[in-house]
Amino acid sequence: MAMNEAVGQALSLGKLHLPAKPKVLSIEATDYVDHMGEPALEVWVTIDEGTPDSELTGQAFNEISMVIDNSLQAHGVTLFPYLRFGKPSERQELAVNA
Amino acid sequence: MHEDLLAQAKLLATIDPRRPSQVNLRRAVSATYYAVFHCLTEGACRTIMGAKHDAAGYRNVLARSFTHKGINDACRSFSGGTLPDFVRQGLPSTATIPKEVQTIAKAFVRLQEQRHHADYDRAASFTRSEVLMLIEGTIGTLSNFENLESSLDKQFFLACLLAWPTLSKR
Repeated sequence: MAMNEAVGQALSLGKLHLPAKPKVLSIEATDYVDHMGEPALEVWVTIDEGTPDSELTGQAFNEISMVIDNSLQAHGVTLFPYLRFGKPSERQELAVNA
Repeated sequence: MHEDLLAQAKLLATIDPRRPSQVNLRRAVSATYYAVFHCLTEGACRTIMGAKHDAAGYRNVLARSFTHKGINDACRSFSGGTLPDFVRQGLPSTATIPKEVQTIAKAFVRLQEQRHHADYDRAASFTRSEVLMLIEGTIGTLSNFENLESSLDKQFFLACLLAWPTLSKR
């Protein structure tokens, strides 16, 4: 299976058993090169705009990370995944300021 | 020290009442990375020198011998759940990489990447959500690692954080 196809299947939102909170709207992966020069993945997890701070928990962060890591591994993806999180408005602000 | 660094990270990430300052978010990311760095190096030094109070000076000197790259390389191997053949072949068949070790190793690699951008990449930006989650996630990961019962598997991981640059070249 081509790597892009494997990544796409691994990160298919409907197939991942993510925690209920915070609500994940989308997961997108792009090719990335880390600061050590190693090919990797940058995985953006977009969470619901209305997510309160009380849902930005360590447990949720670690659970979401583990689900993504396990799924990528199960689909044979060996690229190291670097995870980013943000609400749509936060991501928009990063894009504007880039 | 690592608890203080995480407390500082939380303070920086939440200090701005409305729109977060990127400078504060950057320093929060860096403090979170160094919390894990110092927790791991201290754990490694205690493994090597012992945990007694009168060994503190020796541990402090030894702590200066770790390199960020060396720890990163070791953590990349341990985070995958399996060790390279050159390492595994000499270990007993019962040797494992505990889940808590895999988790902290992966967290270290991710945090180092984030810290690199936070400290050196003028074009980098962080969301408040990700920094808050990163800090809280790190608190949980460190707690799980510290609460992991001391075992040869845990001690070996910690010792490898210093030994990996040489061991990996065998």
